[in-house]
Amino acid sequence: MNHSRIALIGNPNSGKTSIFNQLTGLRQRTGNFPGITVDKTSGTLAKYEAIEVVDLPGLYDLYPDSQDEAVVLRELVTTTDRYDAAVYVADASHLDRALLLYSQVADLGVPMIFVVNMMDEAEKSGYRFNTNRLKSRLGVPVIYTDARSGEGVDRLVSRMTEQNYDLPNAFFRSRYTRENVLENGYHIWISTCFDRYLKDNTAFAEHAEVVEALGSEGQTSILEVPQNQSTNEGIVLEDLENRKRLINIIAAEVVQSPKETRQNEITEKLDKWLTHPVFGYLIFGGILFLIFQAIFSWSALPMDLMDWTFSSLSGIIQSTFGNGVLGRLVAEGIIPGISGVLIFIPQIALLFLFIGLLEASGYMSRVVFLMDKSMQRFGLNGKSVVPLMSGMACAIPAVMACRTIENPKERLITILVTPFMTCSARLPVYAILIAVAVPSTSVLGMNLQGLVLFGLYLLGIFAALFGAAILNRFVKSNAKSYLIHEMPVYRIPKAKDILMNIWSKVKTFVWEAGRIIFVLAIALWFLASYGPNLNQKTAAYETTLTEQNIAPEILDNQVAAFKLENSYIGIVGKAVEPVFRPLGYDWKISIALLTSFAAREVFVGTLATIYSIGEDFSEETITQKLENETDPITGRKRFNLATALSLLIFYALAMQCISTLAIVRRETKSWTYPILQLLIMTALAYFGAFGVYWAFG
Amino acid sequence: MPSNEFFTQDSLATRYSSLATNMKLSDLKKGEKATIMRIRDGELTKQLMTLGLDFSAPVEMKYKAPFGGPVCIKNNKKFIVIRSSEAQEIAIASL
Repeated sequence: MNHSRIALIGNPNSGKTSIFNQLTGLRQRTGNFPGITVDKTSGTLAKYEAIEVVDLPGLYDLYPDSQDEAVVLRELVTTTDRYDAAVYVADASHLDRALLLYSQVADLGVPMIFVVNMMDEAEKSGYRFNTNRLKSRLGVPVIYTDARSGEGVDRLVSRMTEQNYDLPNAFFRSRYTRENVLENGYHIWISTCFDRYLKDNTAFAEHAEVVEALGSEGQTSILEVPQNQSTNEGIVLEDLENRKRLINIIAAEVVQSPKETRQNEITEKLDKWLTHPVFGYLIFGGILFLIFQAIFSWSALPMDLMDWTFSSLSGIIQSTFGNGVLGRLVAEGIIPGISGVLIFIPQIALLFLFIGLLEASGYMSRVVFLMDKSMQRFGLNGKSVVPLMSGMACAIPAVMACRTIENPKERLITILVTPFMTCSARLPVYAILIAVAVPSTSVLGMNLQGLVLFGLYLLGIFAALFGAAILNRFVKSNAKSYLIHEMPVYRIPKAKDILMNIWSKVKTFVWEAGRIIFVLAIALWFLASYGPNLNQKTAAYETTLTEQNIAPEILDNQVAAFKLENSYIGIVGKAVEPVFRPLGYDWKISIALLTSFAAREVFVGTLATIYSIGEDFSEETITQKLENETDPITGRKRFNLATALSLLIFYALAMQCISTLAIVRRETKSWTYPILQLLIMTALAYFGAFGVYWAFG
Repeated sequence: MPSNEFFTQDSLATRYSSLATNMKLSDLKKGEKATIMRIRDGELTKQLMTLGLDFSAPVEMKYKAPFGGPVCIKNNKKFIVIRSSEAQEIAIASL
């Protein structure tokens, strides 16, 4: 079988991605189109690895006014890495709309198979199709599928494996010459698909030649933002009108449509409540509450399990390899490094499970409808809700989710403020500090500790909104912002598709964040285990302690603490202590602060070591130990309320995640923004913490 | 006539008479129906057309978000959401 590359094209909400999942299963991966931040998911057919399938972004048309459209147009027109054919996926209940994009792809001379998807829904609603008419009008094979049940997908696969595709009938023949095309780019592409005289539908081989003739110059000019808006718009609208005229004729011949559909009726019944000016918001709030409850309670068990597994593993490695460098590297550097990444997977997976359910069912577009006005006040878009919500699991997939926001200014602002949302990594820090410093009393019938945690979440949200409002003043944009989208009918999501989505997001997190955290964990281990003359100093100290006849474990812990103090990172920590003293931190806390600038969760582990808790720590032991720490000079508790609150505020606001900075750099394609983020958020954290310490101290 | 004003009705008579229309889509109350006559913004027109709006069929105002938020219209068996600022650019003739 020869290698072939097939594109999957179609409208959003047409079940295209479900078809893609069924064609490729786990043999898929997500990446980027070169030079642009647009998702490219590709995979190979099960049992036929020679056939590569690329899921192009869902579109309504190919007029290149948005990035997605421009990228797909470029992909179809390029002469390198050509697509051999396309599988066009149409929603059976909206065939007239589906034919628009189809007609443009057909006019580009791309061989195709036409798939009419979501047949179950359509048939139940009363849609009837004249297959023969459809086939003769389009000139390509027509396959009916229902991605939910999988019906028809096998026929699609067998047709694809024939590797023999038909050129579709043209909708509009072209009037062009080679010279025209190369000179005028965009205008000419439009006119090449335009013919005032609706005549034959003969096959259209010449078009492929023209497209090839575009060459790299012509292709680039297609992608340039049109200089003369109104002229281009006029051409587009004229072409659009003509296409629709022809398409409506075809659709009338080919489809028998019912007056109303059952899906619409059900959808309207639900939307009466879900978009209600009062109940809509209450329901949304309730759903959010349930989601977070579920995430907290369900992720606890897997996280504890992982914790236990990794510390046991660490123990085993230690006893096997002893105290040699390799043994310690693995037990104290590598294993904590890996576990530090993996431990967040349950929370991240659960949040994306819920977000995936909300999107696939169609409810997310209702959320955008409800939230858009409020978001606009802060310079954001209704669609910003998804990244902001995702940021509560992890900012990395959240920042990537900003790609759905078309307006560059709104997208940039959303990217910049998303890291303020309370992510999973901050939770271990919050948990320890609250347990140590906040009394577990009842206030108005609610636990004070729980209230403080909730307050921190609110702080994250306010910081994001406030930050967005400020950025709104400074970031300039000329592009008009639109919010025009379809609210699809409600559908029951398909489990497999949701699971694939979660798997893909988790993979992104583990790869993007994971590799950076892993490397940093090893680097930190090194900096914390080595120092100038460290071994000699430690040996001397150990001898001194032994002479005092201290119990072995206490001795070990104290030696460990001493080692950390005198390691490279300890030296730096002590050196920067003056900087942090106004915030209420001593040099031990400063060390922990420094180490967690790479990744927040490292804070707890570092504290455990510094306070001589040893490796075998649990939340209780840390809490007890920290509670008992006192300042030798003032006699005050080290982790008093003021210091703890100051630390909490610091962690809430500071940018302490190199992985996030890396992703922001990638999505904004510049170093300016991540650097600004780092400086501004950290400054905010510093002064915020200072203010709190001063107020409570 | 402004260059990218889009007229949805073909006949010249309807086109010119529609210039007299003052009602905007944003004026429509929930449940009311109307015909779209004119759209002032070319990009808005293109997006509505490619979403599958059928100008020969009536448009029903389905839901309006509070405090000047987006509106949801129904046309051609589809539910389309647009901002109220965008709905202001659409001239209608009520039914």
